[in-house]
Order: sequence, then structure tokens, then C-alpha cells
Amino acid sequence: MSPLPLQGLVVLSHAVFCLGLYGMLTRRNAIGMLLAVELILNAAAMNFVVFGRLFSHVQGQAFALFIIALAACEAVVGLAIIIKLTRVAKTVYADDVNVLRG
Amino acid sequence: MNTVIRESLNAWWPEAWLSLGGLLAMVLGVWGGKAGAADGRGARAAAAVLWLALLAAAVALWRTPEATSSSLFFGLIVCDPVSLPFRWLALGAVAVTMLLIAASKELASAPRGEAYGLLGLIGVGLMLMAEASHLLMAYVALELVSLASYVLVGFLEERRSAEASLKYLLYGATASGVMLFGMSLLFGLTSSLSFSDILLSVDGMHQPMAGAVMLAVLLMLVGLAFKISMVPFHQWTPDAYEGAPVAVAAFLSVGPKAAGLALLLRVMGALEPVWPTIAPVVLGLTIVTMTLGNLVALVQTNVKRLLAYSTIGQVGYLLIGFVVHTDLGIEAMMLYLIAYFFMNFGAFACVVAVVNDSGSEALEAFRGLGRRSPVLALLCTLFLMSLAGIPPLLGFFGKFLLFGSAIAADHTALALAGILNSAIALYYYVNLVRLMYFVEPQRAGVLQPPWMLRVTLGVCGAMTLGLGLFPNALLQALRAIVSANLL
Repeated sequence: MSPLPLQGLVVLSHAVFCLGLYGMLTRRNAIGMLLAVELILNAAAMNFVVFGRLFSHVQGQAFALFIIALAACEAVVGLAIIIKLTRVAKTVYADDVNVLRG
Repeated sequence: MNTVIRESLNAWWPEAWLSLGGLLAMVLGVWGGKAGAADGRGARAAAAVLWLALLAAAVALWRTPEATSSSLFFGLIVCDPVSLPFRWLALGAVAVTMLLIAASKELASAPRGEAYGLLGLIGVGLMLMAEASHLLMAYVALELVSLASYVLVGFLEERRSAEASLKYLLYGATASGVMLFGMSLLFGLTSSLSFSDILLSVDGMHQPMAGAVMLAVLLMLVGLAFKISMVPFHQWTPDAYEGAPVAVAAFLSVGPKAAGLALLLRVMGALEPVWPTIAPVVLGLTIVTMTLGNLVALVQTNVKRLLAYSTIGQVGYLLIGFVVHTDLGIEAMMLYLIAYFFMNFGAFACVVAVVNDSGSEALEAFRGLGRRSPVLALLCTLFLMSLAGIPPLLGFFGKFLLFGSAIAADHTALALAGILNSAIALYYYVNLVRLMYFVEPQRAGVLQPPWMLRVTLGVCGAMTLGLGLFPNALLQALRAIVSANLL
């Protein structure tokens, strides 16, 4: 196996994480926000895979599999909630979600 | 391998029963509730199944073999003595919430069977959070609790309920994502996932690795702080509670808070060497948490928002036990959690009764309750006074221990902040009591809560008063648990 370009991969995962956070803060569309969360989760999954490979530790890869499954669950629940919101409020924009004061 | 699983299952029957019950209740709820029947056969069957599962789980937990400190399931969980009170609290929270859901009029047309199913599964998640000894288990348990909670918050066919669950989901998913990224960094720095290995590897670490561990720990704390609504990750709390059904808000204000604190204890136990560095941050945030919660509660007009901010304040008190970082502190925190369980569920049960009657969540709905339902008003006063920390109730005793542990550990500022906050909190609790007794009622007629609420109120009231008068047995049990093992 070729040596692991560790530095580049870790920089990449941090970049993806920061992109996800940035998207979370700037997106106004609920579906866009869900996608941003997906970026954050995948950045973490990438870290687990890279470090697992580095330590030749199968646990890292296993963790990544769990993250993929849970990210799918999160997307399902998130989309279900958004569908419900569009049904009762006819909007997917976070700025229109303003009945509650917080 | 088979023997490991068999031995592990031996200590794990309570969770196994509850998961079975939760899954079965879910299926029954979906299957039998299709016809849109308000309280159809599906919901009743689901409730029956979950009650049986709870009973089986309680029996199994009671008969659980001498709690061991050895790790189960290949080091994923550990059923040590410290997890025991948290497992009981999780079972209790599920049971009380089932009663509250069954009593809620606002949930009459909702698919209750599914709510019971989700509740049972959250219960399993809470227990797993309290016994996780591995980062993977911690993450999976936290997500199990979170995902089902998002759905439960959106259970009402109302716009604000959908909004609340969307906000809760977006905040929650971000917080758990950030926590997960922290976990991945910690894995990269220590090359291990189980808490005991992490402790070994962090112990001898020097700069610059120690600095990187700090970053990972702070990121992980984001997720945990969100779960227990610690400032600055508390903003979701009032919104989620206001939109959620009262019964679900009650559950969220007790169950996940207790389990989140347990997980916080475990995670920080694994990161003991880092503690001195982050202690000042956590200490400052603890003081801000209680002060902000109590100050903002003063101006609330919706009873669910009031109790949400009161929850934030109470979490601040609970965190004192964590910050002082002594056995006495942990013991005080556990005792106060038990007190909080009874008094907060009691207070929310009163809210369910009032909301059932008036359909309004404004504080005004409590007007004249003393005349319309003297017993309910008296119990409500009892819970509120216990939350405020008036002797001889259990809440006072818990607070006394918490502040005492802070003084014993030379954290006088912390104790002082707690005492000042109790004085502030007294104002809004007493205001509610004033509305009940000294203001003319808005509606006429006697308010008679259904039997489920009477049971809940009776048990919570008896415990708040009884354990407050005779706390010795409870205190000794907790002391034995804490001294049995250092996390």
C-alpha cells in the first residue's frame, strides 16, 4: 500500500467541517441546513477512516459505518419534519419559522 | 465470544426488555392506529406492552447481579454502581411520561401508540448514555435519544409544534455533528475509542498534543452541553418546550438531562488529566447557566417557557456537583437529580391538568386554582416550593448538599452564586403560587384531573415531602454507590 498522505487528508476533513459549519450559519433553507449537517458528519467520518487506516485499527472504519447509518436516519427524520412543516406552514425557509420567539 | 455475550446479557436484561417493548409498541401503534381512532386499540395495546416491558425491566434491574465494574459487550458499556441510579431514573421517567401522555387531552387525536414506542426506545438510549464506556456507544446512545426526541416534539398537528421540532433538529444535529468531529480528533490523538484507553493515553501527553486534545474536548463538550441545555447551547430549550406537548416537554426536562450529566461524568472521567485546564471554563458557564435561566424566567408569561428557563437554572445547580469534582459533589448531584425528577415531573403534571382544563398555557390559566381544586393547588405549591428550595422538601435538601459540597471544595463563589440564584428563582415560583391562591379564578367549576394524573401527582408529592423529611436512607445508598467506584 502506498503511504498515507495524512496531512492532506486531515486538512481536507477540517476544510469540509468548516464548510459545513459555515453552511449551517448562512443557509436560510432548511434543506440546505440539513445538507450542511451532512458535511459536518462526513468530515468526522473521514477523520475516523483516515486515523483508523493510520493506526491499522478496524474500529475507525466501523465507527464510520455507524456514522453513515445514523446520518441516513437523521436525514429521514429531518426531511419528515420539513415535510410536516411545509404542510402546516407552507415554507422551508428558516426566516419564516418565527411563531416561536427564541 | 459467545460467553462474553452471554455474560454481558446477564447484566443487561433491563435494557433488552425495554428495547423489545419499545419496538413492539411501535409496531402495534402503527398497525392498530391506522383508522385514526382517537384512543384506538393500537394505542391501548402499545401502552399495555410497554407497561409490561417496563415492569420486566424494573424486576430485572432490581435483581441485577451485584453491579460489577467490568466492561460488557467487548468494552462498549459498563454497568457499574454509578450507572444504577441513572438507569432507575430512565425507567421512572418513561413510566411517568406514559402516564402524562395518556392524561393529555391535546394528544387525544395524536397517534399515541407510536409515542409510547418512541418513548420506550428513548428510555433505552438514556440507559445506554449512562453506561457508555466507549465513544461509539456514547454517540449512538446520544443519537438514539435525540432522533426520537425530535419526532416527539413535533407530535401535535400545529404549526408551532412543527417549528419547534425543526429548530430542535437543526440545533441538535449541528451540536452532535460538532461533538462527533471532536470525537474523531480525540481518536486521532489517542488511537483509542474506549474511555479507559483514552485515559491511559491522555495521561502522559505533552504540548503540543495536549493542546490538540483540549480542542477535541471542547468540541465534544458542545454536544453534551446541548443535551443538558447548558449556556451557550440552551437557546433551543424554551422553543422546543413551548411547541412540544406538555408531557414530552416534561420528559425532555428530566430524562435527557440526567443521562447527559451521567455521560458528562463518564467522558470527563476519561479525560481527567485535561480537567484542570477546562475547569475554569466550565465553572464560569455553570454560573452563567443558572443566572441566565433564572433571570429570563422572571419575565415569562407562558408556563412551558417559564419551566424551560427554570430547567436551565436547575441544570446550573446540578452542574455545581460536577464542577466541584469531588465525591461529595457527585453524591449531591445524584441526590438533587432524584429530587428534580420528582418535583419537576410533579410541576409538569400540574401543567397537564391545567392545560387539559383551559386549553391555555398562559400563566393566567393558573388563576384561582386554589379555589377550584384545593388539592391540586396544594401539590403544585409543594413542587414549586421544592424547586425553589424551601425546607423541609427534598429540593431544599439537595440544594443544601450541592452548595455544601461547593463550600467544602473551596468554591465559595459557586455556592454564593447558587444561593443568590435561589433567591431570584423564588420570585417566579411564588408568583405562580400567588396566582393560584390570591387571584380570582377565570373559569368556574371544579377541576378534577384524571386518575393517571392523580397517581403521578400523588407519587411525586409523597416522594418530594417524604424523602425531604427522611433523606437518610437515600443519602446512604448514594454514598455507598459513589464510594464503590471512582469513575
